[in-house]
Amino acid sequence: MALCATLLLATLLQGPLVGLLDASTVRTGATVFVAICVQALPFLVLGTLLSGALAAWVSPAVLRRVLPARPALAVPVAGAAGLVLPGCECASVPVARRLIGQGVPEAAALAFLLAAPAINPVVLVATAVAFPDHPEMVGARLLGSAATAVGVGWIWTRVGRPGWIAARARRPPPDDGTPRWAVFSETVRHDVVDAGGFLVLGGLAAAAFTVLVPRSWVDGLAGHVVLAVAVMALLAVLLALCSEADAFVAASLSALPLLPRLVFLVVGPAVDVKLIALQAGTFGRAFALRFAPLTVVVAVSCAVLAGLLVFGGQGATG
Amino acid sequence: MTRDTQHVLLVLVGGVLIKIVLDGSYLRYVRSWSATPVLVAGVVLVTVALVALVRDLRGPPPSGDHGHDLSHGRAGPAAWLLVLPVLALLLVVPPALGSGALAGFGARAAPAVVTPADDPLPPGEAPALGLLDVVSRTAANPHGPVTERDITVAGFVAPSAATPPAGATGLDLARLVISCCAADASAVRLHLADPTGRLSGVTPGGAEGDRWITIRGRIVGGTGTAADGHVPTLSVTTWWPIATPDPVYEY
Repeated sequence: MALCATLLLATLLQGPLVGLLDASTVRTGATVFVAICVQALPFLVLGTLLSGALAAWVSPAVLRRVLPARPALAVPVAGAAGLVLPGCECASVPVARRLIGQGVPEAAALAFLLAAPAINPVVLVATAVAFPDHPEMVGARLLGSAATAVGVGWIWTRVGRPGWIAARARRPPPDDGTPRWAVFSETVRHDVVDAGGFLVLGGLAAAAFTVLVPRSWVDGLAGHVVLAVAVMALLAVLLALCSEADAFVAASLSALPLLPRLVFLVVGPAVDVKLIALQAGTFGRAFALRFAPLTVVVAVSCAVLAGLLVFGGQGATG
Repeated sequence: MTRDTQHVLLVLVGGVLIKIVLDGSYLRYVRSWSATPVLVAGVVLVTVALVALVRDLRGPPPSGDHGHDLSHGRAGPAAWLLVLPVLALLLVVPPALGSGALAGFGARAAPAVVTPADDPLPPGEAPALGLLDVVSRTAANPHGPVTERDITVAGFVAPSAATPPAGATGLDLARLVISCCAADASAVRLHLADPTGRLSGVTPGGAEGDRWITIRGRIVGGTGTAADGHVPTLSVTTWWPIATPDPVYEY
């Protein structure tokens, strides 16, 4: 009923809505918002398909056999599994949630969550294409992102509390004789409804920042490497670019030294407004409030260390 | 949100995804390779919603329905936000990005990554080149083959963002480049020099839309380097108006 009313109301208001779009900024923002949704929904659906398959056909016992029993060892193994899933960050959230539901240690599932969008082959190739003059950027990105995933996972094994992840994320699929294909279909349906709204929320925020953040934020940063690192980390969070596209944006900011651009590439796939919204919706707000700041700190540190290691002092000066 | 509403909403979301692929408007938002994923996602969403609808009609919703709150599979209020892209795509269908996107962070310049500088130009008189291709060639070699022959380039007319070099008109030919979706759009530009006065009266498009033209001319040697922000100067020989290209972006 409420849905009908919403649709009817919006149809009546179509004229004014279209009129509002005359303002150039609003129009650009609306296009960017729809673009983010259209780009991200297929990846979210891909993630829920994997999640549904896990729920229907992969028993917790199988996962226990694949993963080392000790969380400290399971973390790097799960992170390495991220190498083979060429998805955006939107795809990895439902998968990580299902892994937790199937009894995988939280820290390992979170390492997978961080690794999958950051260090898969598609992203690494895109990075190589975007930085033809700096092939070392690929290695630096791989190193920084892998260290971030494993680092956050290890920290979570020490400090993580079971209560931080909402109970609804852990409920196992039914074992009451429901046919497996029905479990699959229902898991996909349910996960899309659960996460979709939050994806839209993140898309709204990212679209607003994309049109509102002025170019002057990055002009004049070239000589201030510490400030540039901070601004690029913030931009990575606010702009919420897909990990397949962010290398091209980073490459275009050629006035900046390599180090702050590497920070942009390592922070972006790990934490951004779209992901924070998705994680709050999937794992609960208590989780997102702790996980996002932790990830930012670890990602920036790992990126800076990886940058200094790979680029040497040259990365800070250009 | 009740279970029934969720089903309807998912059919709508899946339906608009299918619709924008079939009518081609998806090219305003994403690249052409996204057609298949978007279409498949739409079909999956419609299918799982219909499966759930049929199963609900045949019997009571499964009691052990995992992950749901106890209240008969209701979803939280955030799920309502899925209405927004549906409405946007059904009622408004936001237009492709144009000169309006040159203002914000989208004003970043696209990186020159595509063509090696000394690739021979396509055969023929004044071969048609993409704007990104031209910028990439001059970035790699500002005195390369691209400066030795006439070329034709399409784009929309925009005022120069930076102070134009001596001899240029203050007008640019611009194009937006996307690598994944419109959210990562970046601009490539050519400064226009007009030694023979062909461009008199040409102005950027107004509220009714961008002004798209094709220009035949020659790249001024030595331009398009880091010094001018990788914006080469194109000396105009002649130009003619064109319709907005589809897709509107370069890749």
